[in-house]
Amino acid sequence: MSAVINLKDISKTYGHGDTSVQALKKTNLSFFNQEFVGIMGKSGSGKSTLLNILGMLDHPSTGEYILDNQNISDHCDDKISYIRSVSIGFIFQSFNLFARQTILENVITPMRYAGTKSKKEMVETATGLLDKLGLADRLKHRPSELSGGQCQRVAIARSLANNPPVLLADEPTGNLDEKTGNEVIDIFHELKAKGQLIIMVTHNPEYENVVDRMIHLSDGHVVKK
Amino acid sequence: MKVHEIVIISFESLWSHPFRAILAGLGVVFGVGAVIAMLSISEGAKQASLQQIEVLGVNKILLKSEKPDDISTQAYSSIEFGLTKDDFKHFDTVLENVDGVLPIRNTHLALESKRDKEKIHLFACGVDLMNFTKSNIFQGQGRFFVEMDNRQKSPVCVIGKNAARKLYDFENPLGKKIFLKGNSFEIIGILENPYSYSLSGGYDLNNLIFTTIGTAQAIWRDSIFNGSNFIETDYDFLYIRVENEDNIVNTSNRIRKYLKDTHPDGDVSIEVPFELLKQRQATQKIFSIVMASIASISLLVGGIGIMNIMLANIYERMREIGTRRALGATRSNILIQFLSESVLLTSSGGIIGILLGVALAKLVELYGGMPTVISWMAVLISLFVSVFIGIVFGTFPAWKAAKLHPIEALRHE
Repeated sequence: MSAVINLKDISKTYGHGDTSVQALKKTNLSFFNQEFVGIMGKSGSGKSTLLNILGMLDHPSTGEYILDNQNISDHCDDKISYIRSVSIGFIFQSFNLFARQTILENVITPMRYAGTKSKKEMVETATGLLDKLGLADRLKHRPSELSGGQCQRVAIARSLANNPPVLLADEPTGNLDEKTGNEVIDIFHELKAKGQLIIMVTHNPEYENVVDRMIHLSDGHVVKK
Repeated sequence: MKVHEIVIISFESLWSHPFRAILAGLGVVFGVGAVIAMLSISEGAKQASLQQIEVLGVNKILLKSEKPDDISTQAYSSIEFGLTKDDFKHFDTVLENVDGVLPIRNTHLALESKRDKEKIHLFACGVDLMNFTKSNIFQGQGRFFVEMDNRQKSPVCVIGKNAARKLYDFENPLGKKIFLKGNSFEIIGILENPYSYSLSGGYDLNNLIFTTIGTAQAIWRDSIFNGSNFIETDYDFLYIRVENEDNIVNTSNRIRKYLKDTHPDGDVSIEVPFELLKQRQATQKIFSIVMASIASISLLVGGIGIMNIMLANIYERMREIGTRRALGATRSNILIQFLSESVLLTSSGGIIGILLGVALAKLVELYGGMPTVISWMAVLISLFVSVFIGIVFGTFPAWKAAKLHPIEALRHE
């Protein structure tokens, strides 16, 4: 089975000279379809840097990033933005929903940036996703009118809007109670079953049992794959 | 992302903080409002003065007899002053580039209207009066004077439309006789002057009765023209029509020189509408420059306000910018979004400012009695300037937003 994402000798250094900090060191990782992968590590271990590079929000200092057999390390910003919009869905710890928009509009936004669907298709897709996540009766609500769990479900629906092969979740249950957090994990399992690759950064050691594999990072090194 | 979608997002963003958006746009609102109001008032004043000059005719030169200042000391003695028949002859026959000279005398005789006792004055004029007015032709009923009337000193008169109404109500006065100091005049024409052309001194042709100079001089001789204290002048006004506008400056200079020699005591004044026009145009130009400078400063202040608000806006919405980048927004998407927000803000401010300016101008017209003219060109330019300010002062904040690193933006609390 070919990997959806292949990281070859990826390293990331911040700053220059004496003040430089190597946040990620010669990292080689592969991620596959239908996989639910966790990333754990202490603060400063490099997990956020790894997630940012995986999400193409940051460029690696060295190494190659292969997404769907395509080396994207040298692409320009606009091209990377497009690839990001269609290939990667982001789920944030604090949801990062647009407070001024309804949840339907929130879910439509990534489709607008991808520019691949008509308005009707965008509304249909967003409505379908929100329906599947149990928010069909909240389409016109704004994020401030929803609970934390509902907001995270909207964020998951938004991340799935362009049907990307990869979902990146940055501590998606960090702001939720245990029950709601477990519901989110259940959704990830359902998505995984449908073929999605889910990469989740977490601090919670209990999730070691719910993911297919847990990558442990320490001081910029992968210590356990 | 399509432009109209970006505009919708921008509108939603502005709408989410309406009070802030209103405050930010106030600079542009007042700037544009002031420009429109000031331009409307100045355009109104300009057109009113131009109309005045135009009615007088830019190719004409007006000479006026001026009463000496020391009349009281000269009481009971006969004083001759002002324009003479020799002057008329000189301008009519000797002076170059002259197309015609129109003599006018106020006879100081008047009829009283039955209804409101208003005085209707009799003026004596040259037969080509109509050629000197804006209409150039006689409009009304009956006819105007011909040279024969002047030469034969026919006891005929032409009555202005308003004067006819005041003296005869709704009766048709054509062919009727008027008695002036024992002399009977036949009304041969009712003059209708649609442009409210006024003789110097503010006499509207519609409010006067006219006879020819020849007739008046024959009936009353010169002695009748003594309005007070035996003060005599041959003509109150001489209108000199110059052949070509290019010759006005030369001709008026020659006339000035002639008057300096023949009327050294300054009992004849000269008025050159063309010079007046040039003067007013020059004043207008200075006024426009001053106004444009004031408007520019107020719009600059408005623009700086917009930039300030947009920068604060970006700082406050950094996380949103980071999230949008994570969702696939390109740098240009972010740039256009924030730029369209500032343009939307300034153009809305511009539209409200235009409405405010128009309302102010109308108020000034209504309560201040000043004529105002809304210049559509000024409205269009104001709208364009508003958009331009949005672009100029919104580009830097928008560029700053677009250049933000997605991770830094996402980390922002």
